Amino acid sequence: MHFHRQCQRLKMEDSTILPRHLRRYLSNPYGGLFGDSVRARVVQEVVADPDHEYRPKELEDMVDASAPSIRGALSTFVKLGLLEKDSTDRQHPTFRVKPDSKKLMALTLLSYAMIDDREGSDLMDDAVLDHCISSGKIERLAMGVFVAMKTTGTTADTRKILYVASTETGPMMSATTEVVR
Amino acid sequence: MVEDIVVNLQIPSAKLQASPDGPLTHQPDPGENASRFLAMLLKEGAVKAYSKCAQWCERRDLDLEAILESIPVSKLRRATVPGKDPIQAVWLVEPAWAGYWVRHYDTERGHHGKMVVRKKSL
Repeated sequence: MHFHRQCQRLKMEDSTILPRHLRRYLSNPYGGLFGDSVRARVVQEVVADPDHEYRPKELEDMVDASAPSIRGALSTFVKLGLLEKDSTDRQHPTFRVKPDSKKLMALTLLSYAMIDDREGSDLMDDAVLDHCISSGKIERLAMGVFVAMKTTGTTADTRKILYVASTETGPMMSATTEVVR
Repeated sequence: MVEDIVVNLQIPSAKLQASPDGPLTHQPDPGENASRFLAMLLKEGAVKAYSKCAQWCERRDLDLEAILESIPVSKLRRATVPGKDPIQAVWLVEPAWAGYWVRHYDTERGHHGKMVVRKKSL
């Protein structure tokens, strides 16, 4: 046990200093966009893992809130259709996110948007595209690669671009040639 | 002309494969269980207190230390907020990398009962 603690300490000493602009995310759900209320903390917690079944006691520990405030938040979210309650065990009800709730998707996108604005990434755009494909709203017709080759000629250099794609109707190829100035 | 190009088509060089725009950009593969943890981190701003991460993992039968050891520090690492009472945190350094694998393993959305996780099965 002592050895384990020593290893843990060494690992912690090996850690880097967290950049200042990230520190607000440690204590504020959505970076403080909605303040630091119990409800905002519970929302962020359940959206972060919609597969998990939450017990009120667990949420008390995870978001550092009192039992009445957690009960109040859960009750509100059930009424709003974000969560559903399973009272099979009346003494220990569980809550989980309604998987078909659009609020779940919207809140997930909001989480990504917070990072995208900060880091310049495209997490939200990618998630929107992924969501549209998986929900059948748009169809991916082809996935492919292209290879560009530059050839040196006597009069001009040319670049040949070959597109190879796997489509619903079978493999397709096309090519273009352009002169490189 | 297409045939002509196909004949001349060669396997991309190692340099091309390893280029920032090449297929190796998203390596390494963190595995499905770690990607569930990464999905959580992404939705919590890419940073979370170490103690909360440990709690989170414990409740899902995941091993936080194993996850941290299996992923390079250039992607995911421990971090400290200095002060009188320093806070230890887990910092997802490269959210775009994590986003790729979260989508790959489809761990961002709810699929109640779909996933079965086992400790140290990274």
